[in-house]
Amino acid sequence: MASEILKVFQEQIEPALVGIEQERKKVARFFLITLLVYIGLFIGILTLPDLIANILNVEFENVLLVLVILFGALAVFMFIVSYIKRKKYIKEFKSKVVAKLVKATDPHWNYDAELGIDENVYSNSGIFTTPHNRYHSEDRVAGKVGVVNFQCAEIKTFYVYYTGFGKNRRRHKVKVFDGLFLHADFNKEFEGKVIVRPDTAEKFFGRLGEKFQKIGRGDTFVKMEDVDFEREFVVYASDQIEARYILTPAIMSAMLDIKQTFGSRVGFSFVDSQVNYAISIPGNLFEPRIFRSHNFDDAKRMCRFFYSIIQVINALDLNTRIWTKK
Amino acid sequence: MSFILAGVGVLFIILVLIVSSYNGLIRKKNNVENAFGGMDAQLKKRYDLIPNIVAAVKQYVAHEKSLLENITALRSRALGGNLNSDEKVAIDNEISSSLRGIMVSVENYPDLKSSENFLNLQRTLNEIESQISAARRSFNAAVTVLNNAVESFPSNIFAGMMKLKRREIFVIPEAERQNVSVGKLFNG
Repeated sequence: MASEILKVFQEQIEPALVGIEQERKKVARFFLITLLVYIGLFIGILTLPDLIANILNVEFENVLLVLVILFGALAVFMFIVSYIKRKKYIKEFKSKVVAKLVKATDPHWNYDAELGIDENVYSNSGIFTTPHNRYHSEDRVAGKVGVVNFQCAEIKTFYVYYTGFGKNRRRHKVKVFDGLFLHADFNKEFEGKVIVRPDTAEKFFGRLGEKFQKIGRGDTFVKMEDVDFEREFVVYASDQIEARYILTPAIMSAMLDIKQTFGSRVGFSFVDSQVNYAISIPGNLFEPRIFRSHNFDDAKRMCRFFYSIIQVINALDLNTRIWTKK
Repeated sequence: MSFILAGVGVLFIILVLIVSSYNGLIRKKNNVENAFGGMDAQLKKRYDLIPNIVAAVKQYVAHEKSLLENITALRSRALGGNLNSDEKVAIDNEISSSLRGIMVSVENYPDLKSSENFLNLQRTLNEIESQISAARRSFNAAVTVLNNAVESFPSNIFAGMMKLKRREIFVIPEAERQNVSVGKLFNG
């Protein structure tokens, strides 16, 4: 895979990067200028009001007020311009570089930097027990792997809440999920819901943890036979038999392999004959560096995320269609 | 006075333990019955599919009558009623083996293998077999939970009083784990 990415990088990505390199340098330069201006404004606010008040023989507070308004306006203006430049560069990077990397992975896949996965799909997956009231999704890749239709995108969700009253009112923002989310056809028809979450209770508390898992959940807790699987995941389902119909020994083994391969917190769910897969990977996965050029290692890291879609679909054997669902 | 209260408290705790142990065992027993019922329902689906398979295959493999007659007879016995759990399981194993044999023999008939009707039947059978496998695993899980309760202290005391016994989990007999010999099937 590395040699294929290198070939694509040299033939397609590097020329595209050369084209937008000037833009990157402008953005980096403007950012540094903005930083210097902020430092200048800060020093100015500390030193200038007194000086100007003495020279012009006016009230110190009036001079301070005027300077705060002027400097504040300049600071906001610089921030907005820097933000716009950065956004424009990111958009150009995504359309010229990320899109090419997606096509290099599979020429029939579609990439859209502005689109994401529908919030209802995320909510209905049932993977996340913490509610959210802020949702953002972008960088959607859609297509097929074999006969399996899929969508994959970055998702960030937060829960914002407030404590205290009046002057003591405080805003809190808790991150619920930040990573990649894959939504694909499953190869069996089923009616209920099966959710497979990372198992923290049993890991830390052993058998006692298992007792906690059984308490206070809407769906039924399902204890699976695979000991290794049980150690890493906890399963809830609307029906015990359907859970085992979906989670065959082969699927459980595949889930363990996926977790070990990608080394992050992963969760799965099976809803409406579709499979959802979420992997926690903080940060912006498909955005460029500002202070240095995008290099081959960066391209390889991005491609790894796209190839992971194929790996997960193949690991779960979703292209095997020997049951009634074609 | 405090001595009496303490005594009442202890009696209350003992009563709660007795009631929860009793209820727990009843729940586990019912889960096993429920799981067996689930397995039964899936087996019934397979019995219903068998005539369709026999009809589809018969046209092409007329000279392998004994194979088809065997599975038809097994189906009749399974649906005949008055079978206990062990007998049901035994017949189910024979049917599984017989169906595998038919599917293997179909490999020799390309026209049959590619017919739309047969392909749909094969998919349906695969689906049902997967559901039967899931039902068996659920049954085994429920039986394991019951057996743990029946054999572990102190619930084994209550299990003994309630005459609850260990149940056997569903296992595939050794003969069934071996590869099917098509020749043996054809020769009866």
